[in-house]
Amino acid sequence: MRFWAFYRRELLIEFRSGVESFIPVVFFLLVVGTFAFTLHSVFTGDSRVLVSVIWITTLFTSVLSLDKLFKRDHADGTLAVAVLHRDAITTTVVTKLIAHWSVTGIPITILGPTVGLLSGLQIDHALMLGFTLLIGTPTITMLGALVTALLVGLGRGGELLTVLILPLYIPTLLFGISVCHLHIESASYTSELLWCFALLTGSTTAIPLALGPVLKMSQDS
Amino acid sequence: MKFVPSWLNRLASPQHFFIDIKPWIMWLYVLGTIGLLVGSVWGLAFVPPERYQGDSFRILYVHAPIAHLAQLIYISIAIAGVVHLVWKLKMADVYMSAAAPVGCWLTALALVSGMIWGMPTWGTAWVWDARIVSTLILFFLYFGLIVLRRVIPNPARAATALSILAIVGAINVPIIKFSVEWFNTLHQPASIELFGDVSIDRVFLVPLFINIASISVLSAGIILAYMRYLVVERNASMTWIQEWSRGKNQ
Repeated sequence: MRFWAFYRRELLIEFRSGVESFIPVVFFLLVVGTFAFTLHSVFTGDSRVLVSVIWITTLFTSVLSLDKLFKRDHADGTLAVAVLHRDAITTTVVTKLIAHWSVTGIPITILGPTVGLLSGLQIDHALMLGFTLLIGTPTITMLGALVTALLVGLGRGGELLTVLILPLYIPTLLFGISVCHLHIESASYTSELLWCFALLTGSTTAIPLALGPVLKMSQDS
Repeated sequence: MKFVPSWLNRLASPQHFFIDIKPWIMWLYVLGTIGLLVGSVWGLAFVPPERYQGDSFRILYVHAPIAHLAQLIYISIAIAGVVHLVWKLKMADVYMSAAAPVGCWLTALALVSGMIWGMPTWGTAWVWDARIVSTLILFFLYFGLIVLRRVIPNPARAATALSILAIVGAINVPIIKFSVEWFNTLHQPASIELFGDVSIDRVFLVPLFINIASISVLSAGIILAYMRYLVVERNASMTWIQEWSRGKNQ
């Protein structure tokens, strides 16, 4: 019950901010488009390049959108109130992350393969790309939220956030891309896919528990 | 509760650490320097040239110990992070702050010495090979730790943030190991394994192990000296520090 109320609130805030909520999607299309235009024949000729570019752009889009994840709630005191309820903080944060994933992860999971298809990716390769993005983006959101939570209220973001987060994204990126590449080369990708799932289950179970204390610490000082 | 020997328990307090550790640092410096000289001279001058790489392989005696230690220090920082989060030991935080810059420098040196080795053997200084990239990422992870320490003004919060980032980052370190098998690339696979056959002859190994041991000892000395410096910086208002400095000045 509480979950749906929170979830609805997050989505409402997101959509009522109007055109601002489209920034990540437009950013994604813009960057992939720039790559496609400048790499031209390499981009459309080699499916592996295409898949890698889409995956990497997903990471950048994620970093960009994480910047404001806790900013508003910290500024208006919502976070301070949420932190006071020790058992509620985990629910609040998980809801927040699911909402954030719904407005950034899901659009990219749909857009990525669509852009791929339009650039000449085969349909089963595009589906595999969509699948890896589907199980990769929650991991990305979780890891990113943890690092963002460390910096709440410092008034720092942007490139500092990028420098701290991107190295942590590397495993997710490598396994996601390897699965797609191996699938394109018709090789066996089971172990890489299992690693993707391992990262997904590991991050979605451990990080929400860590987020509560980390956010509390940010409010204490 | 006799979990921890009493001397170790004593070192967990900044005051006792500061006083007890002083005489050790000089010994660590001396031992590390002598060992490094012995190992390097042995490796560079007395070991026979390698069959395929000739004399250029000798940079192994510089490169491998540094690269080894760079990874080891990151894991030790992550362990110190766990210790900090669980037991709230002040010295764990001091260790993290002191070890991060040392590890960062070692990683940079490992990359540079690897590039120098790459020129004669691979014909190029830089390859976008999995293991090199992992080391580069390790460098960024260290850099992130140092920067995070700087941007958070509150020391308690900085320590917790540092612990969490170090623990999460430690997930990356196994990738350095595994990536050798995941991607089949130019890089030669690791030749020393803890359990199993060693693919280098014993003649080459003795100076290598001397160097690995002595660079660890030397780095331990540097980190401990830096830790003492940080203890002074953070406890400047404490009476024991002021008494110590007065006694020093007399």
